[in-house]
Amino acid sequence: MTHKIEVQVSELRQITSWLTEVDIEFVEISRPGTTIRLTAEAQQRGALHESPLPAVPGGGTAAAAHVLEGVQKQVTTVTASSVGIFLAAHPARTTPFVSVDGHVARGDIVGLLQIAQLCVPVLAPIDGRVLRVLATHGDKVGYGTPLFVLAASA
Amino acid sequence: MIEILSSSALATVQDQGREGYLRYGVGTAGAMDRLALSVGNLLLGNPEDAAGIEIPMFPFRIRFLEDTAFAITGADCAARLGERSVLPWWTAQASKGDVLTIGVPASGTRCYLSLAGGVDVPVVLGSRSTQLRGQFGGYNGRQLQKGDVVQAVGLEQAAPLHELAREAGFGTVPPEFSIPRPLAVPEAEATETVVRVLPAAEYDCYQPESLAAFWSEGWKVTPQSDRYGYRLAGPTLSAVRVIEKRSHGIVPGVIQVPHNGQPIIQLRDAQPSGGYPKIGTVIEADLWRLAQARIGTKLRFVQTTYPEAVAALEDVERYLAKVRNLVDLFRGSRH
Repeated sequence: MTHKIEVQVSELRQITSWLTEVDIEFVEISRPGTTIRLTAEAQQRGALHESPLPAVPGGGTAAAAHVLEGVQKQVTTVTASSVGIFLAAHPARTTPFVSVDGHVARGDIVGLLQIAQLCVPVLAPIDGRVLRVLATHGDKVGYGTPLFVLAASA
Repeated sequence: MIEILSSSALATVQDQGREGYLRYGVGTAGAMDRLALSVGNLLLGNPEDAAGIEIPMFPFRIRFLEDTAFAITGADCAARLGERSVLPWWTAQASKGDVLTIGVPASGTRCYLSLAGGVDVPVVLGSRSTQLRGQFGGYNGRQLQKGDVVQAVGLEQAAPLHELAREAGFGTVPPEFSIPRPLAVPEAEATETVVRVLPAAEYDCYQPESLAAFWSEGWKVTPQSDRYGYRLAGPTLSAVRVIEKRSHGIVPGVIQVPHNGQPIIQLRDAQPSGGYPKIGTVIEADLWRLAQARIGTKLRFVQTTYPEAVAALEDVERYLAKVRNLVDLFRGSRH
């Protein structure tokens, strides 16, 4: 990389203080080969919040998944990979993409994130069944907000 | 490269139109819903003047003869790429051999299929639009037929990192949810299409009751409505005196009143001249709404002014600029 990164430590402090003020958990900037992540410590932020979500693997999709090993079966939480408005159905339609107990195939669109005029799909990362829908149509969501819980099909 | 599988589909290759030749008697042609075509091009990162396929009859089916990114915009059609459904106002990646079926729309009438780089047909008089009246431009100057193979210019696209995202694609919020609908008085029903109209040269020649009806009544889009123009049905518009005019230049959007008092809106394939008196002109910023009005539904006219018409066009351009920036950011973030 010939691109020289010029960041002052004082600027980083300024950014982290802004994050703390508005209660944002972390900021992540990715470019090929480089990822910069600033995480505000949990105690600095409001006491109401849980611990930060684990890092999600990089990818171009609007949703990234992290897998939690359940007691009996594999359960996957689908999270938002962008700030946006969660849409359970397309703006022109009324039928939601999925509902609880519905089956999904890997790559199916299970919801949308509306980012201003854009609609970015939330994709099912696995074949499975919808256990829970955690977000409501029209909810403002942030990076990492859990949207769905899926159970992997056996 | 795609192959048309539907027969007699009335689909045509259109771009933003052939401007600057009305004086020679060459109509503008071009997409009826230019906003939808613009968004299709933006989603794909195509040049603004790229041509797409305007589809007015459904279902419409094509086969992709090579891997191609495509977009569908305009009417809300139930579309499928192979087994997978494709959302309205959406772009996705097709693989060689995939069949795209664009189903009957739930709302709207015209769907636009855009291909990466745009449809590759010769530019005639500055445009790739099909001039049906003159039988030139577009695909051999005619509507597409079963078996036609249409080339795309092709475009080097930034490949999204994630295989799933590449397949699933992304889209935009349809413009009817982003650009506020004009307000009609009395209030328009949800099924009515509301467009703003500038009074035209012979406006003052009509009876006050006719003018009142023009602004307050719903005007039914009759089955004799197509790319040439829409024939409307409603109360009879009566002039205060007989109006006889020589043929003169007209543009898409002009509302003429023939002797039977039932208005005609001239559209993209209209003759560039006519002699009927003109009661008004649908403003350019609302022609896309007109393009999606279904036969049998009603239109409502809202009186507007020249400065308001210019401002309305700026609203449309602002929407397009926003979409352009967002698409650039979204594609850019995947490099």
